[in-house]
Amino acid sequence: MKREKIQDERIIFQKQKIGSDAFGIVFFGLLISVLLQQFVFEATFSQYAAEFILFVVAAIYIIVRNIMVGIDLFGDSAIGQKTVILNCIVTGITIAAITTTLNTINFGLEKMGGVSGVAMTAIITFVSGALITFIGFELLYLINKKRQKHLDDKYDDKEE
Amino acid sequence: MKKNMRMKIARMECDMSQEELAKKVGVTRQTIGLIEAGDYNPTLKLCIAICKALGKTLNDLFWEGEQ
Repeated sequence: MKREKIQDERIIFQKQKIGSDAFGIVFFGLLISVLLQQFVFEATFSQYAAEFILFVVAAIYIIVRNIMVGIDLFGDSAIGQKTVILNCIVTGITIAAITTTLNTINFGLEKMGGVSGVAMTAIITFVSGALITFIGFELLYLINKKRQKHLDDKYDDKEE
Repeated sequence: MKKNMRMKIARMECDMSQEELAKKVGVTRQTIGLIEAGDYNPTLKLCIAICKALGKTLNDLFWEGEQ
Protein backbone atom coordinates (compact mmCIF):
# COMPACT_ATOMS: atom_id res chain seq x y z
CA MET A 1 0.00 0.00 0.00
CA LYS A 2 1.34 3.37 -0.94
CA ARG A 3 1.53 5.60 2.11
CA GLU A 4 1.52 9.32 1.55
CA LYS A 5 4.10 11.01 3.71
CA ILE A 6 3.10 14.39 5.04
CA GLN A 7 5.65 16.49 6.88
CA ASP A 8 4.29 18.07 10.03
CA GLU A 9 2.93 21.29 8.61
CA ARG A 10 2.52 22.91 12.04
CA ILE A 11 6.24 22.51 12.75
CA ILE A 12 7.15 23.73 9.26
CA PHE A 13 4.92 26.82 9.67
CA GLN A 14 6.27 27.55 13.11
CA LYS A 15 9.87 27.22 11.93
CA GLN A 16 9.08 29.56 9.03
CA LYS A 17 7.48 32.03 11.45
CA ILE A 18 10.51 31.93 13.74
CA GLY A 19 12.79 32.45 10.72
CA SER A 20 10.66 35.35 9.57
CA ASP A 21 10.70 36.95 13.04
CA ALA A 22 14.47 36.50 13.26
CA PHE A 23 14.84 38.16 9.86
CA GLY A 24 12.71 41.07 11.10
CA ILE A 25 14.97 41.52 14.11
CA VAL A 26 18.13 41.46 11.96
CA PHE A 27 16.56 43.75 9.33
CA PHE A 28 15.57 46.47 11.79
CA GLY A 29 18.80 45.88 13.73
CA LEU A 30 20.72 46.72 10.57
CA LEU A 31 18.66 49.87 10.05
CA ILE A 32 19.20 51.02 13.64
CA SER A 33 22.91 50.21 13.36
CA VAL A 34 23.26 52.27 10.16
CA LEU A 35 21.33 55.23 11.60
CA LEU A 36 23.29 55.18 14.88
CA GLN A 37 26.64 55.02 13.10
CA GLN A 38 25.66 57.71 10.62
CA PHE A 39 24.05 60.25 12.92
CA VAL A 40 25.18 59.51 16.46
CA PHE A 41 28.75 58.28 15.98
CA GLU A 42 29.26 60.31 12.79
CA ALA A 43 31.08 57.41 11.16
CA THR A 44 32.25 57.58 7.57
CA PHE A 45 30.22 55.63 4.98
CA SER A 46 32.90 52.96 4.60
CA GLN A 47 32.44 52.07 8.27
CA TYR A 48 28.79 51.14 7.90
CA ALA A 49 28.71 50.31 4.17
CA ALA A 50 28.34 46.57 4.73
CA GLU A 51 25.27 46.98 6.95
CA PHE A 52 23.78 49.57 4.61
CA ILE A 53 24.26 47.41 1.50
CA LEU A 54 22.83 44.35 3.28
CA PHE A 55 19.80 46.38 4.39
CA VAL A 56 19.15 47.70 0.88
CA VAL A 57 19.63 44.27 -0.72
CA ALA A 58 17.23 42.68 1.80
CA ALA A 59 14.63 45.39 1.18
CA ILE A 60 14.93 44.97 -2.61
CA TYR A 61 14.69 41.18 -2.24
CA ILE A 62 11.46 41.48 -0.24
CA ILE A 63 9.89 43.80 -2.80
CA VAL A 64 10.99 41.76 -5.83
CA ARG A 65 9.81 38.45 -4.32
CA ASN A 66 6.46 39.99 -3.36
CA ILE A 67 5.91 41.29 -6.88
CA MET A 68 7.11 38.02 -8.48
CA VAL A 69 4.70 35.83 -6.51
CA GLY A 70 1.86 38.21 -7.36
CA ILE A 71 1.25 39.98 -4.05
CA ASP A 72 -0.35 43.33 -4.83
CA LEU A 73 1.80 45.84 -2.94
CA PHE A 74 -0.26 48.91 -3.79
CA GLY A 75 -3.91 47.82 -3.91
CA ASP A 76 -6.18 49.25 -6.59
CA SER A 77 -5.20 52.17 -8.84
CA ALA A 78 -6.59 55.09 -6.81
CA ILE A 79 -5.29 53.83 -3.47
CA GLY A 80 -1.98 52.81 -5.10
CA GLN A 81 -1.32 56.29 -6.47
CA LYS A 82 -2.30 57.88 -3.17
CA THR A 83 0.14 55.54 -1.40
CA VAL A 84 2.94 56.57 -3.78
CA ILE A 85 2.29 60.29 -3.25
CA LEU A 86 1.89 59.92 0.52
CA ASN A 87 5.16 57.98 0.70
CA CYS A 88 6.95 60.70 -1.29
CA ILE A 89 5.71 63.45 1.00
CA VAL A 90 6.50 61.58 4.22
CA THR A 91 9.97 60.55 2.97
CA GLY A 92 10.68 64.08 1.71
CA ILE A 93 9.71 65.61 5.05
CA THR A 94 11.72 63.04 7.00
CA ILE A 95 14.88 63.54 4.91
CA ALA A 96 14.51 67.33 4.98
CA ALA A 97 13.91 67.42 8.75
CA ILE A 98 16.84 65.13 9.62
CA THR A 99 19.44 66.59 7.25
CA THR A 100 18.51 70.24 7.83
CA THR A 101 18.54 69.80 11.61
CA LEU A 102 21.89 68.00 11.57
CA ASN A 103 23.45 70.48 9.14
CA THR A 104 22.24 73.42 11.24
CA ILE A 105 23.68 71.81 14.38
CA ASN A 106 26.99 70.97 12.69
CA PHE A 107 27.57 74.17 10.69
CA GLY A 108 25.67 76.70 12.76
CA LEU A 109 22.86 79.04 11.78
CA GLU A 110 25.15 81.68 10.30
CA LYS A 111 26.97 79.37 7.90
CA MET A 112 23.59 78.04 6.79
CA GLY A 113 22.58 81.56 5.73
CA GLY A 114 20.30 82.44 8.61
CA VAL A 115 16.69 81.40 9.04
CA SER A 116 15.87 82.00 5.38
CA GLY A 117 18.89 79.92 4.33
CA VAL A 118 17.79 77.04 6.57
CA ALA A 119 14.25 77.25 5.19
CA MET A 120 15.54 77.29 1.62
CA THR A 121 17.81 74.29 2.29
CA ALA A 122 14.91 72.42 3.87
CA ILE A 123 12.65 73.12 0.88
CA ILE A 124 15.30 72.05 -1.67
CA THR A 125 16.06 68.90 0.32
CA PHE A 126 12.35 68.13 0.62
CA VAL A 127 11.76 68.56 -3.13
CA SER A 128 14.83 66.48 -4.07
CA GLY A 129 13.98 63.73 -1.57
CA ALA A 130 10.33 63.61 -2.57
CA LEU A 131 11.20 63.58 -6.28
CA ILE A 132 13.71 60.73 -6.01
CA THR A 133 11.28 58.77 -3.82
CA PHE A 134 8.49 59.42 -6.32
CA ILE A 135 10.57 58.07 -9.21
CA GLY A 136 11.45 54.94 -7.23
CA PHE A 137 7.93 54.29 -5.96
CA GLU A 138 6.25 55.08 -9.27
CA LEU A 139 8.56 52.62 -10.99
CA LEU A 140 7.66 49.97 -8.42
CA TYR A 141 3.98 50.84 -8.77
CA LEU A 142 4.10 50.39 -12.54
CA ILE A 143 6.02 47.09 -12.36
CA ASN A 144 3.56 45.86 -9.70
CA LYS A 145 0.59 46.90 -11.84
CA LYS A 146 2.02 45.14 -14.90
CA ARG A 147 2.61 41.94 -12.93
CA GLN A 148 -0.92 42.04 -11.48
CA LYS A 149 -2.37 42.47 -14.97
CA HIS A 150 -0.29 39.57 -16.26
CA LEU A 151 -1.56 37.31 -13.46
CA ASP A 152 -5.16 38.51 -13.89
CA ASP A 153 -5.03 37.69 -17.61
CA LYS A 154 -3.36 34.33 -16.99
CA TYR A 155 -5.89 33.09 -14.44
CA ASP A 156 -9.02 34.78 -15.75
CA ASP A 157 -11.62 32.04 -16.34
CA LYS A 158 -13.06 33.56 -19.50
CA GLU A 159 -15.73 31.55 -21.29
CA GLU A 160 -14.16 29.75 -24.26
CA MET B 1 -11.39 28.01 18.22
CA LYS B 2 -13.86 25.29 19.25
CA LYS B 3 -12.69 21.86 20.38
CA ASN B 4 -12.96 19.20 17.67
CA MET B 5 -14.80 16.51 19.62
CA ARG B 6 -15.98 14.80 16.42
CA MET B 7 -12.43 14.05 15.44
CA LYS B 8 -11.62 12.73 18.92
CA ILE B 9 -14.71 10.48 18.91
CA ALA B 10 -13.92 9.23 15.38
CA ARG B 11 -10.37 8.41 16.48
CA MET B 12 -11.64 6.53 19.54
CA GLU B 13 -14.14 4.64 17.38
CA CYS B 14 -11.20 3.48 15.27
CA ASP B 15 -9.49 2.46 18.52
CA MET B 16 -6.55 4.63 17.68
CA SER B 17 -4.33 6.68 19.97
CA GLN B 18 -3.21 10.20 19.10
CA GLU B 19 0.25 8.77 18.53
CA GLU B 20 -1.04 6.16 16.06
CA LEU B 21 -3.12 8.65 14.12
CA ALA B 22 -0.19 11.07 14.05
CA LYS B 23 2.08 8.36 12.68
CA LYS B 24 -0.48 7.42 10.05
CA VAL B 25 -0.85 10.96 8.72
CA GLY B 26 2.81 11.88 9.17
CA VAL B 27 2.63 14.55 11.84
CA THR B 28 3.60 14.71 15.51
CA ARG B 29 1.29 13.66 18.34
CA GLN B 30 1.22 17.28 19.57
CA THR B 31 -0.29 18.41 16.27
CA ILE B 32 -3.16 15.91 16.58
CA GLY B 33 -3.66 17.02 20.20
CA LEU B 34 -3.72 20.67 19.16
CA ILE B 35 -6.27 20.00 16.37
CA GLU B 36 -8.55 18.12 18.78
CA ALA B 37 -8.19 20.89 21.34
CA GLY B 38 -9.10 23.44 18.67
CA ASP B 39 -5.78 25.24 19.09
CA TYR B 40 -4.45 24.59 15.60
CA ASN B 41 -6.16 25.10 12.28
CA PRO B 42 -4.91 22.34 9.94
CA THR B 43 -4.48 22.78 6.20
CA LEU B 44 -6.92 21.09 3.84
CA LYS B 45 -4.21 18.58 2.92
CA LEU B 46 -3.87 17.44 6.54
CA CYS B 47 -7.66 17.44 7.06
CA ILE B 48 -8.03 15.08 4.08
CA ALA B 49 -5.25 12.82 5.38
CA ILE B 50 -6.95 12.63 8.80
CA CYS B 51 -10.34 11.90 7.20
CA LYS B 52 -8.82 9.10 5.11
CA ALA B 53 -7.08 7.64 8.15
CA LEU B 54 -10.30 7.66 10.18
CA GLY B 55 -12.60 6.62 7.33
CA LYS B 56 -14.68 9.78 7.55
CA THR B 57 -15.51 12.67 5.27
CA LEU B 58 -14.48 16.29 5.68
CA ASN B 59 -18.10 17.09 6.52
CA ASP B 60 -18.12 14.49 9.30
CA LEU B 61 -15.05 15.87 11.03
CA PHE B 62 -14.51 19.48 10.10
CA TRP B 63 -17.70 21.11 8.82
CA GLU B 64 -19.08 23.51 11.38
CA GLY B 65 -22.78 23.64 10.50
CA GLU B 66 -25.54 24.97 12.71
CA GLN B 67 -25.73 22.52 15.55
